[in-house]
Amino acid sequence: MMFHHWHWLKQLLIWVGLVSLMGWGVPSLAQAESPAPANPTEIRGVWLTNVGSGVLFAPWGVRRALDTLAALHFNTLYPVAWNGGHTFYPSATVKRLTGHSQAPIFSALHPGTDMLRALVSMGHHRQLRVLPWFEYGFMVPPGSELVRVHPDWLSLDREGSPGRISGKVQSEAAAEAGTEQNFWLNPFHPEVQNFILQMVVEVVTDYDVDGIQLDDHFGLPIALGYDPITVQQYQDAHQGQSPPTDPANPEWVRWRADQISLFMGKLAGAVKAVKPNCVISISPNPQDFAYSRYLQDWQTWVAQGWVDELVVQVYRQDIDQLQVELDRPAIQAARQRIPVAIGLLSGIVSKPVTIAQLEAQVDVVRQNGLNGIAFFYWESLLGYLAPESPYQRRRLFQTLYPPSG
Amino acid sequence: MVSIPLKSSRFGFAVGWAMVTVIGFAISWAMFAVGERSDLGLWQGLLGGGTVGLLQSLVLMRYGIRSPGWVLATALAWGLAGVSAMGVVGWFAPVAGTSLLTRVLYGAWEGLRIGAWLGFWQWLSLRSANAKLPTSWMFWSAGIWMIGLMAGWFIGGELRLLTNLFVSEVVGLVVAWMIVGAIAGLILGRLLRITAPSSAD
Repeated sequence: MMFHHWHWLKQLLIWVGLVSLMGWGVPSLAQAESPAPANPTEIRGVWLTNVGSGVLFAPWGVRRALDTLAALHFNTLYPVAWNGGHTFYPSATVKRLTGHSQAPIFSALHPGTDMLRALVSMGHHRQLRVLPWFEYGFMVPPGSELVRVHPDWLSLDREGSPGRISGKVQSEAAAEAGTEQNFWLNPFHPEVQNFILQMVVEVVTDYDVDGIQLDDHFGLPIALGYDPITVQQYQDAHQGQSPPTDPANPEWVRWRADQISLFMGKLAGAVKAVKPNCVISISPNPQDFAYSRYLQDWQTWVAQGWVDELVVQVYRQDIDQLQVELDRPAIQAARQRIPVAIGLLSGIVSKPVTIAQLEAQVDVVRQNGLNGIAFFYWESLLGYLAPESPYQRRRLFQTLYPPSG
Repeated sequence: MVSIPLKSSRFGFAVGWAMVTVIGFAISWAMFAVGERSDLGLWQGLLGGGTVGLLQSLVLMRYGIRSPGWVLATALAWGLAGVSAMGVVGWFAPVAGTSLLTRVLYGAWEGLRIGAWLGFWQWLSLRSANAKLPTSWMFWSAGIWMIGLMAGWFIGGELRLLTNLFVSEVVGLVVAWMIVGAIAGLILGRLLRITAPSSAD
């Protein structure tokens, strides 16, 4: 009897496997090489994340998402490449340190498939630009392999702890994703810088990507920076003086932000040396918040010419607040130099965003003449994590996005 | 392939039937999204019904029931439902804002209709097979779908009220398909045991 059931189960598994393989395997095998799409006049982007989203895991998930986005005339994808101490592509850099070339669950669900390569190929086939998104920047989960292997890489607070960030420093979206519970790699540590640099450069070198994106985690919460290496660097630059005990001391904030900016310049140079046309996109918080809370002086990065596209995250549901953010001088200054888009929150599980809210926000961004919008994220934009059905959400974009973008 | 005599299986058939029914529904998400009545039509019905029917036919085959028409009948039944006033009921949710009472009442009515329709096509497909379904299957099917859809739409509605997320409806439909798969497995197994061959290979 056991044998009969096993036989039957085996047959079922074979069928399910075959059907699933059609979704998993075909894209990477059957897509012909397509030329990279040109940079668009209006950025119509979407983030594809691994948190609270099944798009990267489900059979057919990526293919269906890309088909839908292409049909709705989107033109830019930001698939997660670095999150939770793992990459979402086979990374030699990370494997050398942690033993895992990519996120284990991702490897298990896509055995033998390089999903980023497939995604780039499928994206180009549909005229979608692909900019892998190094979401976590310097952030790492406390329990990650990287932290275990390199506790000396962590940035410390003034109590000497790699303390989790207290207070309402981060956004609600970050809180939901659990990112407020993370440690931070020391961005002033030469080995950390080398690690991040190698990771980004290997993606630019190994994949036909249109660009890369760094976000608000490519910085450091101001409470951190009291580890011995950073203190020594500060003392070397200040005649032996120790850093101020007040993490918000303006000079101390400026010094740390400048060091991160120097690394940003180095990283931009390294990317352009490998691929001169590679778009360097950043998606930070508004300048004042990014600088005063995360030591991220992106205004300087833009002014220095290290950034090709800016996507400012403005996750405000209130239209007036959105308008206030769009009027900020940093955004206006950046618009004089590079395309500036706005990152809008299309919803999170605890805060769904209705079609009407989305439409109103898109209208405001367009009325202000910005260069486009990127939505966070697929599942809440056109998937099931929205108040309306996916079909209703799609109908909105059929009217919003004509084929010309 | 060695098949299991249906007469010797009390719950194996029902468990298998429930499993493949829900798996079939889940696989269909990879082909199209769950929506509202007007979002889904012929193709979604054919694809969804075909997938569920295909997996169910494996169970029938496993128990020695040769049913070449089962897949076609299930696909056609759902496909035709998609172009009729019924709609692809197993894959759509009531419109947002529908009260819980209305959901239960409409769930009962829509379930009765689709269950009877589906039961008719399935009865037809097994008429010439080596195991025949009695005409009572159509009534059973109507009742099973009535219960399943009432429960599924109610749970989906409750969850949607709580979360304001459409995924709640998908959860409700999973519940509906689980109920339908489980009860149908029990009753279908019982009905087929009457006419099924005592052994087959």
